[in-house]
Amino acid sequence: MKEEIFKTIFEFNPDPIIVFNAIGEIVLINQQGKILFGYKEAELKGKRIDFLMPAELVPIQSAMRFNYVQMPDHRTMGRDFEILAKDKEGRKFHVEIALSPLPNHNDGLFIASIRDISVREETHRNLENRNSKLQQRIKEIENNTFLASHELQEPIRTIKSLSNLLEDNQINKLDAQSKTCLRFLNESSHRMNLLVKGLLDYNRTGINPVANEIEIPKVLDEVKEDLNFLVEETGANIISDRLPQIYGFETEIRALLQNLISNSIKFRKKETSPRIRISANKETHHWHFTIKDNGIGIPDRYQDKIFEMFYRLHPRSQYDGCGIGLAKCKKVVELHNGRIWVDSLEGHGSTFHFTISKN
Amino acid sequence: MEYFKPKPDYVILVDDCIATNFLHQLTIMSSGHHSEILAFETVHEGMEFLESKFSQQKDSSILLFLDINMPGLNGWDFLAECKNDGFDPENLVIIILTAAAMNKDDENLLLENPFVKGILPKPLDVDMIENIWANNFSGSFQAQIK
Repeated sequence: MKEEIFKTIFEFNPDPIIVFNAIGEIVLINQQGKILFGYKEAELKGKRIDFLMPAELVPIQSAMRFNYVQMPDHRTMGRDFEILAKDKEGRKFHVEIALSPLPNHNDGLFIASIRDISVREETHRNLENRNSKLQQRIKEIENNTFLASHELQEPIRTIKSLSNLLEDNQINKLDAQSKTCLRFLNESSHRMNLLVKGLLDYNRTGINPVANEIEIPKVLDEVKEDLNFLVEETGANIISDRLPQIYGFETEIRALLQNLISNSIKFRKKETSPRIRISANKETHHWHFTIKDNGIGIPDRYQDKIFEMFYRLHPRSQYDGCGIGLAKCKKVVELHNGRIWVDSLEGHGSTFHFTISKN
Repeated sequence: MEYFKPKPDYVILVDDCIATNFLHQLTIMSSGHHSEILAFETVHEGMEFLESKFSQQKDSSILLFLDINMPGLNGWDFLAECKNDGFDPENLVIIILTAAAMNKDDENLLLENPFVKGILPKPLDVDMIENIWANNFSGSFQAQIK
């Protein structure tokens, strides 16, 4: 009964198994072994294991076997023994071998469990190949975006300078319509300039960032300093609860806070001073930050859309902008394995939430 | 003989960009067209005008250039409203304007809309205006001034 079980396990094991003796002669081979190498049992009888290897590798690989036979131990799959095998048709392929001596056997019998890893290796090679092509492609795109943004700025600056020149020297000679044309020319080139800069900045976000411990209160102070003019002008009141030290990319986090806070000020209600409250909560895997304002709020149906690139919710005449700010915030948060979303009721302020992974 | 509508009573521009509206106004005027041209920066304002015009005079003929990508309510919302309000496609010709590349599915969906008679890239030029007139109204402008 027991023997029958072991015999079945041997024959029907999904990996080929070969039993060989101290001088390398094949004693037994299972079903899968015969399939892998393409021989019938009779063809292998009395043959050495070398018979299943490419001739040029026999000296090296049989030396390995010789060493093993001198000091046999249990070797698991993939450890030490990864060799080249050859089947009846002459196809050479990589195999992994697990080895084990047969205990209490004086003549020295050894069991080799063999696994054909050629498909795995092929897949691995293909993946690596594709991966390196992808990396190269990404580098190329990054580089092109960078170059294009710079190239675009030159003609924009020229348009701007020329229209400024017209405005300074010829404005009195122009009729009302031409003056309007000139004004729109100026505004459009200014907007184009902002768009290109925004796009460049978006694409550079998170390229080779260096992670550090970041004191959020310190970064927040710097952001407030940068926004000082806007804060004074609008009478904005920015308060914060106890804020933590986090691990992340400082430049990106500063930009994130600056974008969200300046949005809270920008989208304020008329005749109401902005009040902004910044808090942070420690959760299991994340820091959860909230930035709550008393601004105009965001209707339900746009609460996901606002994070899309170039998406704007208001006509430019009401609130100027390129539609890049929140897309950048999303990019920064995702760089920190976090999530960003907004809770808001139109007319009743917005609360922006984002999470930052603790590591 | 193909049926042509008479020249539109109004040409409406619905685009959130003031500069684009200004440029389009000049372009339409310089193509020699004398319908009244009105520009609106939001879907809301544009709809308000259409609703009041069509309620005053059911058979007003209106040509409307609609920017599909606008902040907040956009061109798609505008088209949906036109259908909801039960406007007559005989009286309202809409030409869609786009700044960005549009995917084929969206394009087909727009062209199936009974109001939509064309999709054009921004900004409009005189040739485009001529084509729109020739395809939708009683002859080109040149024919009218003869």
